[in-house]
Amino acid sequence: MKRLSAGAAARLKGIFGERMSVEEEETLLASYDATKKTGMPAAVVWPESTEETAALVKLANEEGFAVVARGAASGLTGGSVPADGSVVADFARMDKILEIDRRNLTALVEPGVVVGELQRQVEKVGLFYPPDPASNEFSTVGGNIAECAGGLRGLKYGVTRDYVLQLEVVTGGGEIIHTGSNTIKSVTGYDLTRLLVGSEGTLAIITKARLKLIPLPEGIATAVAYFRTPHEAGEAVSKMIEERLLPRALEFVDGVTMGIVAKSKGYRFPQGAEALLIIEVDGGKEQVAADIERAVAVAERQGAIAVERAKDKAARDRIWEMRKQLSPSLYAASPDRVNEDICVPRDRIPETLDAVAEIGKRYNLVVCNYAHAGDGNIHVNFLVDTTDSGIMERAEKAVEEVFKLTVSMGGTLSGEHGIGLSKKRFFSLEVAPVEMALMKAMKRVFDPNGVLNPGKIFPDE
Amino acid sequence: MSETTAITVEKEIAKCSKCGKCRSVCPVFIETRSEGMVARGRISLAEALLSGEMRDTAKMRRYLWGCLKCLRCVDACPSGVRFDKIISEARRRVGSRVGMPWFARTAMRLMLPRRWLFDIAVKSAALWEKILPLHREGRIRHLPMLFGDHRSMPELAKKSVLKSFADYYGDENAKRKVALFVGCLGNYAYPEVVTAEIAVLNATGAGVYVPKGQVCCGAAASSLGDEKLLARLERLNEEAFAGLGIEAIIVGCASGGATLKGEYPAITGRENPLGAPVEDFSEYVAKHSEKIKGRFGGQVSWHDPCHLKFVQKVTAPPRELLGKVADYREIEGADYCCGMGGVFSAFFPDISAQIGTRKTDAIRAGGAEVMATGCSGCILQLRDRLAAAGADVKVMHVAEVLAEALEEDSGKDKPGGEESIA
Ligand SMILES: Cc1cc2nc3c(=O)[nH]c(=O)nc-3n(C[C@H](O)[C@H](O)[C@H](O)COP(=O)(O)OP(=O)(O)OC[C@H]3O[C@@H](n4cnc5c(N)ncnc54)[C@H](O)[C@@H]3O)c2cc1C
Ligand code: SF4
Ligand code: SF4
Repeated sequence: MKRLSAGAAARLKGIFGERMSVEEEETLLASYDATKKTGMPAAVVWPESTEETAALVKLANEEGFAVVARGAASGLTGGSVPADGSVVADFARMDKILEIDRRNLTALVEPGVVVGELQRQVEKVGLFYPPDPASNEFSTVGGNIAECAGGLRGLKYGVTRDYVLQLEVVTGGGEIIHTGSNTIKSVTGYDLTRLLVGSEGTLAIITKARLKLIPLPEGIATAVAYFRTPHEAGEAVSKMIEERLLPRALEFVDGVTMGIVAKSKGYRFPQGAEALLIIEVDGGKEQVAADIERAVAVAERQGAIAVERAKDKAARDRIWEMRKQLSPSLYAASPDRVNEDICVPRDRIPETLDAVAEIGKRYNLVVCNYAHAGDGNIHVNFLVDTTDSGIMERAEKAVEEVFKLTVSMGGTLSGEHGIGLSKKRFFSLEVAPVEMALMKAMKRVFDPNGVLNPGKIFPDE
Repeated sequence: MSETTAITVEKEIAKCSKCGKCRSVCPVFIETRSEGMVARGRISLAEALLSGEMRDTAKMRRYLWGCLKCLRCVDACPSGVRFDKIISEARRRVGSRVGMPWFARTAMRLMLPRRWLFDIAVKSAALWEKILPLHREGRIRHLPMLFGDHRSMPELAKKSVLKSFADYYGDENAKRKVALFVGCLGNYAYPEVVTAEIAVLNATGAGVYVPKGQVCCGAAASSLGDEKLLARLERLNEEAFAGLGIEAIIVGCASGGATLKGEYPAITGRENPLGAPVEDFSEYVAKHSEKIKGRFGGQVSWHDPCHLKFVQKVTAPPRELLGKVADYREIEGADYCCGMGGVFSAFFPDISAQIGTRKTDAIRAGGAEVMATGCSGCILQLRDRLAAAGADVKVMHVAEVLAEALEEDSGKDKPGGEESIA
């Protein structure tokens, strides 16, 4: 394990005092994220201000250590897994909602604010922060911006990127900069905000964000439609969009996944159902009642064998709770599962599902998929039984094929989880050499000495 | 660690996907925002400790003991990780190697199995109350030599329940008979709760034994990783409750109930080691509630004790009962932890107070007038925190609310009742 030089450690202590630790308990606690990959940092600090963060990054440049920003470590691609010997900046203590501006419909927040807490606070005053990753109750605004988190309402409301107006960040060079504008429009210069959103902590460290809010929709209606095949469910999605319905959520779950969550959490689904769609619409009270019926009618025309409508908030919460159990249930069923986050143009979902199934068959792997279908974002999982020797190699080959398939469909490697460590070796499947060179050049502009979150996104050389 | 516990604990550790969801429910994490203070972090530390990779340090103990054992994380965990198993084993490891603060350990080992010694200790605490300037708002700091705690504690009863109560209450020929497990706080601090429990149980038609040989449930011993002591207490309780011909053992304290229901079968390997099924007070009364009537004057809300909701999974019965006799009002955050957590509050008085304050803020925001609950620890903590906040909210055991309603009801029937001038 790499250590900090005594000089660097002393200077860090000088900046952070008690809020700096090299104890092995603290470094262990900052070594992992939800991928269960690990890397051992040399120290952990808990910044409380932008200035401290800037001092940290400046010191990193002088002393030659790396800095890795850490939110809730719920990332699914190893983004916050620190490089060995780096210093982790845990933003747990910068967790204040600084302002909710009801006249301009914005919120100014620190990076450590938990997204669910922000949602609750703004909803109290009738406002709405739509990005809603399934991890909303624990993931942070900083992590959501750095990964451009998506979630369950992307179809109608877009993703995190669409709600970031301004950022205050510390660049890899240690400078504090402000990007964007507190206005709904701005074309003054390059759009650095968009560049920073999704940059996985490799260009700059976010210390404040001004987020866009919208009025809280009055009504919500939710239904679950069950289908005999995933293909039919996929067709229903395309049809709904074609009929200019815009549900705020259209979540797809296939039969294998349903079977697993049913077994682990005791849910019951109608017999013969091999796919389900969760449909949720929002808007004016009367509008939603009409819209949900239109959506249900489309589902039924596409062959839905059963439909359940949520009668009240409790019923709706139960549906979403089931949805949020999927990823962990698959984990419990197969801890070594391979889990991808591809995104394809929406009308290609049925084809993609069929082709993924075919890949699974060819490599003799159990495939299960669930998807933010309205966004074309499919979470493809290959379950891995470690007693089956050689399965890991087969799974890796299958994943590579899935990525090739995705790119051939005009899709992308990652819809919302980022590239991090997990997907960097596939990066060049989608990103051509010229574009990669340009990205690396940008990285050098923001972070000339490469101190921020090294080893992420770009393939090893 | 025996071979089998090693395997199961290892398996439980491996089940954790490190998703981080427990961060959204853990009361200690919510106050501290420290990864070492949440299940995911503690599991990572336990793994390193149990595999011998990491040593038992002051920091390690802080994180392993900085847990309320409220089991919210187990309830919320999507991967079904039995965190309770992991933390117990990890604590046992640090516990047996360096021990808990030696004085507490010795005192506990000596006193908990011996009521008479415990009585003397409690009495001397009562004496100290007079001698030492420990007064705070008319209450003393409970058993200071045991817990080194800094909070205000209830005044000790003049006579403990087990010394002053009869062996049996109710009709000799009652069709249903139960035995009451009173719990330490019930015994020494809240005899009025025990009185109310007996009255309500009698009103349901049940005869109630109060076995005198019963001792501490052992929750504290278990929390501190002292399995030997827990096993000894279990045996003594087993003897105390033997041969009574009862249909259930009723516990009015959620922590005690959780220990009797969960830990006793686990350490003995038997389903009903005490000879009869253990039931929470409200769970039992709700099943026989036909004769529970009368009105409790005013509005009542319910606080879910963690050990009732997340361990025993009892949530509906107390609400049902309160709704029957009072103007029941559900408050937001009804199931938020009070921050007591037994020994937790002794080791981490400041964090415990913060959690308690968050709870009392919710109680005040919800406009509660009377908070009813079902755990002695919660009663103690809620009273302390509400007093500290200067809030005018009364805290009662659910049995006390029901007993008051029953009394009002019988008062109505009494000939002459209130009119009487004699
Ligand atoms: C059960 C579960 C469900 C999930 N569901 C979804 C979902 O529906 N949609 C979705 O998009 N994701 C989902 N995720 C993935 C994950 O929650 C998101 O990627 C989230 O944005 C990560 O936030 P975090 O606070 O945990 O950040 P971390 O995991 O700690 O960090 C993620 C990245 O952000 C960087 N970072 C963190 N803070 C800062 C900062 N202040 N400045 C700069 N960089 C920073 C880190 O260096 C790292 O690269 C899910 C994860 C789990 C475990
Ligand atoms: S919720 Fe469960 S699986 Fe997730 S980190 Fe916590 S203990 Fe582990
Ligand atoms: S038992 Fe309670 S206090 Fe302990 S880790 Fe779980 S949620 Fe936190």
